[in-house]
Amino acid sequence: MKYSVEREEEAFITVDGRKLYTLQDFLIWLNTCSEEKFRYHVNERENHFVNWIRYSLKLEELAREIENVRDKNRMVDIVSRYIEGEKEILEII
Amino acid sequence: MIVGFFSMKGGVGKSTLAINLSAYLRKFYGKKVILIDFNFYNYSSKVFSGENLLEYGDNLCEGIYPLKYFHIKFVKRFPSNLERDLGILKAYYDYIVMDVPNDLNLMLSLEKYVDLIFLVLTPEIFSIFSNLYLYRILEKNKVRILVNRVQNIDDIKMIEREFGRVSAIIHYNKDFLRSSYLKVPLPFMKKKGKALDEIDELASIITGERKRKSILEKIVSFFL
Repeated sequence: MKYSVEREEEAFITVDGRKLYTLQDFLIWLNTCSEEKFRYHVNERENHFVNWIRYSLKLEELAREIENVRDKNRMVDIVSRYIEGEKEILEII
Repeated sequence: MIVGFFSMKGGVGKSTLAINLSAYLRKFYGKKVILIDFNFYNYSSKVFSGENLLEYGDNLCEGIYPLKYFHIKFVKRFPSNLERDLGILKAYYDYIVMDVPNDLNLMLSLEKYVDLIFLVLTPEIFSIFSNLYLYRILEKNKVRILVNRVQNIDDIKMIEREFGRVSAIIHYNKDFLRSSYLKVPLPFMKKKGKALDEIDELASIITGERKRKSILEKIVSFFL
């Protein structure tokens, strides 16, 4: 499945204990988390989400898009647009 | 806003109405809608969302799938952080629609979080009798009586005698059956039709706004 992990243990566990299994879970977390919690995962040195998106969700294109993004709102925009574009595919599954 | 579909009787069409209302709010109102299917491992909404979607996570904001029709969460056991998670989902979604099975404890546990309850019944004696019991114990100001699969309008009088006002009537319509057969919610399958008009009426109870008007209503609003 392109938009969710394939196994339960591949969930991304956030600093506040939320388990993210799908790209939509990630988007809701981004929309509702504080800047401080976001900074824990995405800062000048690292972006924890890139590997999860690349290897667990297997969304290489999206991983490349957010690799260098450090701004929360910008990341929300990219992920929202990606999901909107994917909906046509999800409908068929 | 949180809307719950409750009934003490199974097979009255709760899931069908919850699915079609969610899809209608998404398509015709452009709202962000999540359908939460509480039917622990017996999810009717999987017909519309793909059989191979897995049920992930013990909390409500874990394992959400963004379908074209609406977003969906399959609940596999009673969520541990219900209040916290509903707060998070309310911040993101315009409408949270809950499809709740006929489990009295579950309905009573969810009642305090729900802003509006559609109590779904069909015009037959077992449905009326069992739902009358539920109606007596629910908070009356939250409950709207919804009669599904109506074939004879005289049945409504009988229901009104027991429950008071009926808020919405959905007539028996083969379009609902066709929509499940094609695995596409009615609002995404058809543009017009009596069934859609009735779902519109249901949506207007929540939104306070009608998207479809009869010719008479259009003429009246033109002159007003």
